[in-house]
Amino acid sequence: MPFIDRLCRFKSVSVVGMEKNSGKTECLNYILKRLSSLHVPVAVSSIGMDGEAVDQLYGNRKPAITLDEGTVFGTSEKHFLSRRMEAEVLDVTDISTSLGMVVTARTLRKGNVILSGPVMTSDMRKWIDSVGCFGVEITLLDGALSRLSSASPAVSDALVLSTGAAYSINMKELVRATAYTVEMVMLPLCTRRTAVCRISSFSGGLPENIDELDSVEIKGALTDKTLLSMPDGMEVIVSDFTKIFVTEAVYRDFQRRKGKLTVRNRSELIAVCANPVAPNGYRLDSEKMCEALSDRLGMPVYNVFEESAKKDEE
Amino acid sequence: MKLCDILDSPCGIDFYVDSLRFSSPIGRKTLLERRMMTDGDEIAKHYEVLALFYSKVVCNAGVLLKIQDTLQPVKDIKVTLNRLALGAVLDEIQLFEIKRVALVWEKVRRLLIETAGQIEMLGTSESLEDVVDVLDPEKLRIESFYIYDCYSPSLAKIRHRLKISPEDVNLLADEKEEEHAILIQLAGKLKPAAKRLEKALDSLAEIDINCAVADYMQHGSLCIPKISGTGKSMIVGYSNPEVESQVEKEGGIYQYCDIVFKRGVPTIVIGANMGGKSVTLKTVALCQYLLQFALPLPACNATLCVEEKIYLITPEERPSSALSSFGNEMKEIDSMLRSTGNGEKSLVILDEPCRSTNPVEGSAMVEALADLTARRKNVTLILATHYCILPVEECRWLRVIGIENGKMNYALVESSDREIPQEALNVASQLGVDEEWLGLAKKILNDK
Repeated sequence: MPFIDRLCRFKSVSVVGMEKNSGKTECLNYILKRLSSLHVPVAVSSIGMDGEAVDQLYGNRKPAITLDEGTVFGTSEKHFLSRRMEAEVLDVTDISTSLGMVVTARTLRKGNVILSGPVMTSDMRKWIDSVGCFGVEITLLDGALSRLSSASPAVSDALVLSTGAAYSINMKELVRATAYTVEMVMLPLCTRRTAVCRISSFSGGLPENIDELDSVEIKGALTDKTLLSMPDGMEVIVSDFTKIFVTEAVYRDFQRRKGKLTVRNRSELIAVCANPVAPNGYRLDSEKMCEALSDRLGMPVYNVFEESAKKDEE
Repeated sequence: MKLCDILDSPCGIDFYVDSLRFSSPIGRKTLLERRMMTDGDEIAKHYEVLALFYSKVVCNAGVLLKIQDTLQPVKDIKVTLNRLALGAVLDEIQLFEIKRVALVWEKVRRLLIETAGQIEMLGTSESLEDVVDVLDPEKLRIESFYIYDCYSPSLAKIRHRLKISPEDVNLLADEKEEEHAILIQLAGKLKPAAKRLEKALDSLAEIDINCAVADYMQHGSLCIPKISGTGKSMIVGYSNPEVESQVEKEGGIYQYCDIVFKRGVPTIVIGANMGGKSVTLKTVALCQYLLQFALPLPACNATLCVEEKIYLITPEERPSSALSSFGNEMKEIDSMLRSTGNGEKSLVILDEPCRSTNPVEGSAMVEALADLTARRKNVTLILATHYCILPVEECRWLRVIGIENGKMNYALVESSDREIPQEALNVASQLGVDEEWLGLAKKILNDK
């Protein structure tokens, strides 16, 4: 798959899903397998927990995270001890999770593991930096439960977006929502060195002279309420796309009012992968789904399930 | 009393501790858990080791860096070591932690012996090579750990078969069973070393403390004090690190001062407002605490007596108290008087006691306090006041030199003149305070 070559150019890549069961783990397993065949030293962890056998919410069986021999991984003490593979402990970090400290280990034999890595993005950055001394070239992060935080440029350099029927079995809705997420990921970089005004999403309140300003920088999350209160023609600057919690209707209204949304840091979108199967068993036509998404996004969209099958056949 | 109990003391010991650069979390933790020492010999032993680090280790930047770098991953694994001593079976993560401590100990111990020779107090002669051998059967001397194939031929066989069929549930179960049997054996082999491991961990924490403190000594003007056996104390060229840092930040030059005080003879500090009396008192308290935690003093040289208790009673706000500032102060002084009454050797530092009450009663109370403590030969009292007092008992009077040529001179001089200097209006005038107000005050004074 061509995107693997592109992925190899980055030091840390997060795999994030638009929804639970959107095929994130399949996508991660696919990338791990390909990188392993290319003999690229890899480390992998998860923000939150991932790799459990059964979905905690829907009860459906989930694919396990399979690591080849020589892969470095970060998981909690509890899940390290319950792994089904031979692995050597490389480090016990001072990063704590509700399941114990994060253990960095290297697999000595192929097998499955539940990843429950650092929960805080700052801790994840620390962990990524710490694995450099074990000869790792690429660190892959599994963002759990539709959380996009691991895709923040403050944590990883690039991302792979996973979407699919789990989000919606209505093809149009799936395409619309995916396109909107991709649009947010690819928002333009802000060219202003400093904004005229900086406001914090926590302290609330816009300045009284907001109508006289042409740009405002939001520290923290950008919500519908804040964007709706912006006057026409305003440039709103946020740290990165993971801080945007704005519905599409509100964003379009902001655009109609000649508003411009920019980011200080941009994540590189490496690829979009799609899973045609919903957790309830409903299956979308894979070819049509990928084509519709690809047409709308203007970039190739991959069904990693089929790609995995093809590769296995080869 | 532990060091962590006095971190909120107004003497500024928190700033001092925060200035130390520890390599491992256990270094800082152990220092904060250090008890206040009241035995001069124990303090002297700690200082002896610190002096060795200062003269042999810190001056050799390469060795210091190597030691500090090696100490970085050391964590407090006492719970694991206690479990080991009790015969519990440890898991791979816990064995990894033990292996790491043993490897770090061996490395640091060797570096220290090469640089400074054997240090008895740190037990550098005690080797953990046997522990390393158990947890590193392949003799690679790297930190990682797993249940090695060479621990058991049958484990090696199972794993060989698992390489061919990694999903074989029966083989996986056999592997787990065999691994558990090995963990039991390892726990048995390591159990006799539990105490030695604990001692090594304590020593590693002490080494971290000594490196951090000796490094701080090298970069600041600190000294290892002498212990006085005469009851007379002296601190030459002292500074308060927190105030000094603030002064330097503002572009000023900090003035180093000297003080001498004696057990059984109250020292009364008088002088102008903003003349540094409070800073002097806090710094003396800081120095006394540092001595009793065997840490170097921010001074050129010092000789101090060892005390059993240290009291620093200042007019600082007590945020969570229901009592008024006067009420709180009375309670604290009362507690001090009761404790010193039973003969405990104590350094008592009082910054402007009774200042929040009327000067008639206030000065009488302060005068009585000086007389009362002077009769207790176990007490070293240092007291700053603006009240005009005339104690019956012998006291030493120290006066801040005050404004000289338009500049404040913070030095203390012994004074036979007990007259309280009247410089408040001058100091206020230098601060640019409302002239009409000060003019009126001067007129009232003249009229009196």
